Amino acid sequence: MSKPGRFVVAGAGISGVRASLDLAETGHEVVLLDTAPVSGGILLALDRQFPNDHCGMCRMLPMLDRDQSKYFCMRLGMFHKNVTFMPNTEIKEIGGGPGDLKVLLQSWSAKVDPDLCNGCGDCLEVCPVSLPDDLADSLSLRKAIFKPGPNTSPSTLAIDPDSCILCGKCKEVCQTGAITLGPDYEQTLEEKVTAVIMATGVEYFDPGDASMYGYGKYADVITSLAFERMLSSSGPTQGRILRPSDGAPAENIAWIQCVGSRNLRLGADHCSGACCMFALKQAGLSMEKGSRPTIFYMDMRTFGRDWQKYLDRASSSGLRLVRCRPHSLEARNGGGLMLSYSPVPGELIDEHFDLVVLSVGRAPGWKGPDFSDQDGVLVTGGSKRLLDISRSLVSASSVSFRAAMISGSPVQAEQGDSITSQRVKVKSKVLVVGGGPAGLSASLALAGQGISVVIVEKNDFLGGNVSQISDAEARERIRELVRDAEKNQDIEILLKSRPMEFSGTTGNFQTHVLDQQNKGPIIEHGAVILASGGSQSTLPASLVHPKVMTVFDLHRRLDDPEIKEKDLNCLVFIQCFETRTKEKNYCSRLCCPTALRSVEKIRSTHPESRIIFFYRDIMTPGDLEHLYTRARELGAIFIPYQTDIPPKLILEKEQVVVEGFDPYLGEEVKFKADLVGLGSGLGPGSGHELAELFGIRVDREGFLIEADPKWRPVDSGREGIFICGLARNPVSLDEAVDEGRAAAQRAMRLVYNPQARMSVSTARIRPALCSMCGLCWTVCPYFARYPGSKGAMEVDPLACQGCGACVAICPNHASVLEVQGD
Amino acid sequence: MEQTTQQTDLVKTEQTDFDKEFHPNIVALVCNWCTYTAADLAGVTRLKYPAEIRMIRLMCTGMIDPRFIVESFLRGADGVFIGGCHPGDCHYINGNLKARLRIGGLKALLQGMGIEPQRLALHWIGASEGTEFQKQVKDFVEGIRELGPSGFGVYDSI
Amino acid sequence: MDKSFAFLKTNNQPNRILSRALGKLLDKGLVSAVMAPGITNGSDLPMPVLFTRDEAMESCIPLAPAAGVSAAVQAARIGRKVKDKRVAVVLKPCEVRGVIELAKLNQTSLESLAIISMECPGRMENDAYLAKLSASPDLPDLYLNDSSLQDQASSTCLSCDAFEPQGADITIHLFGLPVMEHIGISGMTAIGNELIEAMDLEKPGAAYDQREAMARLREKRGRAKEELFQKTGEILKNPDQYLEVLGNCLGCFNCRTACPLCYCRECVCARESFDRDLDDVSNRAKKTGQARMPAGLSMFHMTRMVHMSHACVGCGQCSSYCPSKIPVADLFRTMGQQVQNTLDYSPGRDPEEPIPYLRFKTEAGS
Ligand code: SF4
Ligand code: SF4
Ligand code: SF4
Ligand code: FES
Repeated sequence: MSKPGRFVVAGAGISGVRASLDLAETGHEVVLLDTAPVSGGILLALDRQFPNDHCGMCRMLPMLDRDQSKYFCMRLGMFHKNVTFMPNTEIKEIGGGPGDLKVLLQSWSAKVDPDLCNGCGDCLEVCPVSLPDDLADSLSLRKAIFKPGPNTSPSTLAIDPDSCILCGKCKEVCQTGAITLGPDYEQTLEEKVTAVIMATGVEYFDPGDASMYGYGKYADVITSLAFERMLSSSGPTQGRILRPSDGAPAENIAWIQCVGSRNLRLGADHCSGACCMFALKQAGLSMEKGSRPTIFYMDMRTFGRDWQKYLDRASSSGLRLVRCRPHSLEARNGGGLMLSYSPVPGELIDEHFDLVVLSVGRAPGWKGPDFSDQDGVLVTGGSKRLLDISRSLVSASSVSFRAAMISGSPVQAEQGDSITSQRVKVKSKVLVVGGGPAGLSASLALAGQGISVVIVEKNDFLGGNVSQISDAEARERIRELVRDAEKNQDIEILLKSRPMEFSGTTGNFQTHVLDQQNKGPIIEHGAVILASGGSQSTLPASLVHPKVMTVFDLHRRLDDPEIKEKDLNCLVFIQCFETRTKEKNYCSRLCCPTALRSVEKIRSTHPESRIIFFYRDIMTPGDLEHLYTRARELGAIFIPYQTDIPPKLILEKEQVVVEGFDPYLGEEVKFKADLVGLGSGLGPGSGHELAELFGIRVDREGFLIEADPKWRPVDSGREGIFICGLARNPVSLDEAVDEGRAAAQRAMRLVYNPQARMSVSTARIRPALCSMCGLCWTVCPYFARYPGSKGAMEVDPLACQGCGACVAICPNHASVLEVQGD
Repeated sequence: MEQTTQQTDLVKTEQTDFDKEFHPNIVALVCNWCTYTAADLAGVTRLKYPAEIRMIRLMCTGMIDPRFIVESFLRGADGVFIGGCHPGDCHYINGNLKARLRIGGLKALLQGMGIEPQRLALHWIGASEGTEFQKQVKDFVEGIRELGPSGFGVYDSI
Repeated sequence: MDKSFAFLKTNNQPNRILSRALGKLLDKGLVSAVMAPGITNGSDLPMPVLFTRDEAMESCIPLAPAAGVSAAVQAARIGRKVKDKRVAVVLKPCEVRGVIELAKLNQTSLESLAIISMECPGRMENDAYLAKLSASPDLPDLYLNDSSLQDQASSTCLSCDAFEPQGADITIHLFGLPVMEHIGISGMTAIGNELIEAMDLEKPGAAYDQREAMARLREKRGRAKEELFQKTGEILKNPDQYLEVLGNCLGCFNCRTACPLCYCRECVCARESFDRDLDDVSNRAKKTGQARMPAGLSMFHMTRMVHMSHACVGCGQCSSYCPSKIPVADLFRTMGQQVQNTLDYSPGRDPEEPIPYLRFKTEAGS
């Protein structure tokens, strides 16, 4: 075990905060910086986030050893003993190599002394400079001295050095003398660190640059970021939805998707990956406030596990969806806008809207943050492309683990603790269920930090579905993971085995692992990572036909010499085949990219064949969009269909016919197919069994459910049990690897210190008073209580979060929240 | 901000006609996460709210023992205001839903003891809803002012 | 599940005959014990008695119109301890409700209990029963057939319209039947039917229509209940009346000892709220010149209401136990009804129905 590492994390949005907390919680020191005066990033502007329309950001705060951080709403800021936050700071230079970087930081003064400013706001009234407010994406104005976030605490104001004209008016009115003006005050500082994590986020597209849809010209055309502030009680309209032009309530609202994304003319051959959900959320919230929303879209990219259900809910509560990209927009007399669009060829509709919201995403040409290429500099996924919250956090944790691997794991110093808290012994061993990519990545990460790992795998080989994987490069990557795991001394591999009995408390679990002869060891471990994977769905017997197969099988078959030489006049892909509906109401992520990749392969051998796609929404988020563009360039034909009238497959002895309806032609179409690929999706494996064994939640479809869909993506509801990969949701290989590492990071917090520190405010039992009624057991949201052997409840001290639900329900005060110190 | 920020920081005084009116005794129980943040926001944005409230910060509305509320009334409170996170936002997952059930039962009980239901209020107030916090507290205090003293303290004479 | 119905000839001795029928369950080994009201050496007051041999059943009074204590607690003790054996327990409907509530609170298990209950004509207060019994030794049988005797039941019972058992395996039918000739017995569950089979009963010739008798009683008691709740509701709401009624409380905790639902090992009121700090009392005294000691009795009763009013099964034992004759049960039942209505909860209705405060699990947003 080595000394604590020291890291610079640039960007204090949620990715930066996640990465910092990960490192801080595993005993490292972090300098977290941001060019803004406050932490929080874009989330400061977003009160409620998809896919549940709630907040819950605070749930990313440390849950173990909670006393190291301050415990309040993260909109007020984030404080951890091991994290130094430097506002108004940026990186100037990075020198040296990994493990030994020299980082030159430059800070500038906000000119307002946080200890003196009481947030009274007198200065705001006198400052003569007004400029568009970044936070509200120019929806409202702010002064050169301003409140940097709606909630930030201390309630200090800040001066924006770029717009301040040094007139001194604010200084005159300030009663506490908090303001120091004068020439810009800058300071440079050198930090010697192990690694740097860039978490600065992406740049958003500015529709004004391309003067799209009259943005900048018409006040009632705003960006989705500005609309977010309109929804907020702390925003410029106090949560009312109004037309900026005249302040009249906005009833009819249009969202236009893919503004600045999926637009080759702008050089944007990417999907921003989150705007569809963002718009769905905004539209949903606007309905709560009485507006009538319409979303104009090309594909509804609801590719996350619960996103399709989210879309279904929104549509069933009255959201209107129109598939087309509106072509123009004009101001209308008497306020509002006239939007022209053409949903089917030849039909042009003009419709009035009070407000038009442009769904903007990643700016075209975004190359990632500065210093990205330097050795020892790691970049979070959320800084390369726009990601939803859970993906951002998974990537941040994965990156923070890679950073920590450079320095090795420290054990927290025993001495120098300000609080003499009680300790709980934990086992420095992690059980990993499943030897697919997610499980292997988790195992290798932990073993790399000196934690011993036991992999339990049901097959007699590692690598999961590697043989099913259609992409050769991906197959090779998985094989490499297998090789690495097999030669790692710290990884014990139990093949043809399964976990059978599970007991114990956080940090001290026992799992009985059985092999096929029903024999096997009882493993004592501190944490468990469930990475049991899944597989492609098998086609029903009624579809067994030599010419019909899943898109995955088809992709592999295209390499067969036999197929290469065959005449292929027509290939038909049916995407979302019995998925994203009914029993399998989720997107499997991989069918679209796989099928689109097949197009290139087909073209290389069969330049003339017809390639037809029946699809509902092509799901190529992020840079996968390129595959879609390429497939169209290569002449693939895309025919959309509705769930209620799917294309029909007619199987005959020698041939297969696909019948459907082409809305663009307005007529029935029929194809005699030489090969049919069905995008029939993936499914989780043993979710229900594992959920039962480990006492965690599972959804109807068999995916393990995380503690929080946004803020705790790889935690199960029980501390010490983590979930990742296809067992949790459909993922790509990269994502599975990231999730594995993120799960490892979460496990690491628990097992890196064999003497885990208890938080001061934890529930205790007074055993003589407990009647074992079990009320507390039912109400505890963290599974922290269990019937003890001595006729009273007991508390799992590392799982308890001190919520007090047990105290409130225990009629007898047998359960008490003991707060030591403080 | 220190975690121990005193409740008194948050209490802003409404000076008008202060002494002529009935000054109800009001306990406000707010959760540490959302509602406290909203109260703090109301405070820093200088949204004034009545001075009568005594704000007590709890980690979560789910930790409120209804006995505590009964006791407050017995000891002379004229109203008890509870503020927590919106359903789904509770830091502790569903403490607020537990609170809602128990406060529902308690309200029936207090009503049976002659306490007007308006004297016990439960509101969901999100972190950014400073204005909402101010409005709810103001309305609540106004309502209690109209109702007059609860007189429930008499019950405590045995 | 088919209900089976049969007659038991009573020969003017319904209690004795029913005891013998229950004895057959022991004799045939269908149950390992029977817990039923009975008398043991030293007292004529019916108390729960555990019978393990059928000849001892002679001292059993299964339909006794008195109950020294709530048998729910004793039945719960059996249910909690006994595994892999069956014990028949004879309980009044309110006691059945009590056992079901205790099962929800993990204080017992219903697994090994065969619950036998009856259409309940009510119980007399202990002193009234004993006084009457000395003049009329056949009181337990006569009571069943004499509505003027039944009118001497406790005030709780006279205002109880939940006199039909719910959740029992076997129901004894009394209302509208010529009880001195025969009573009716139905099996309500598979276990109930199995046990009845062993009692060697007569299949009914003509069916008795109990509906009218039941409706009459329900109407009468229902009206009494409404009146009582009305009156008690006023007491609770009105500090003067409240203090007049509860002012006599001695703080003896008998009501909580009596209550079958107060399951805590040690009442929180005995430790924390009750008997306030002396400083507190003297502060109060400063205001008016006087303060009663012990203080905190309102807090005690209200705490019990907070904890138990959703679950009050209306057995009336708290009133019976009260040395100051405070109608505690009236207060609890009145409050109980209000709280239960609000929470849409009916204690003892169904062992599967979760305690209302645990329903957050099924709510949206969790
Ligand atoms: S609620 Fe209280 S009495 Fe019941 S099991 Fe929990 S600690 Fe024990
Ligand atoms: S219910 Fe009790 S044991 Fe469970 S987390 Fe809350 S305080 Fe801890
Ligand atoms: S409160 Fe009284 S009437 Fe209600 S169950 Fe308890 S003892 Fe019986
Ligand atoms: S944390 Fe706010 S109500 Fe639970």
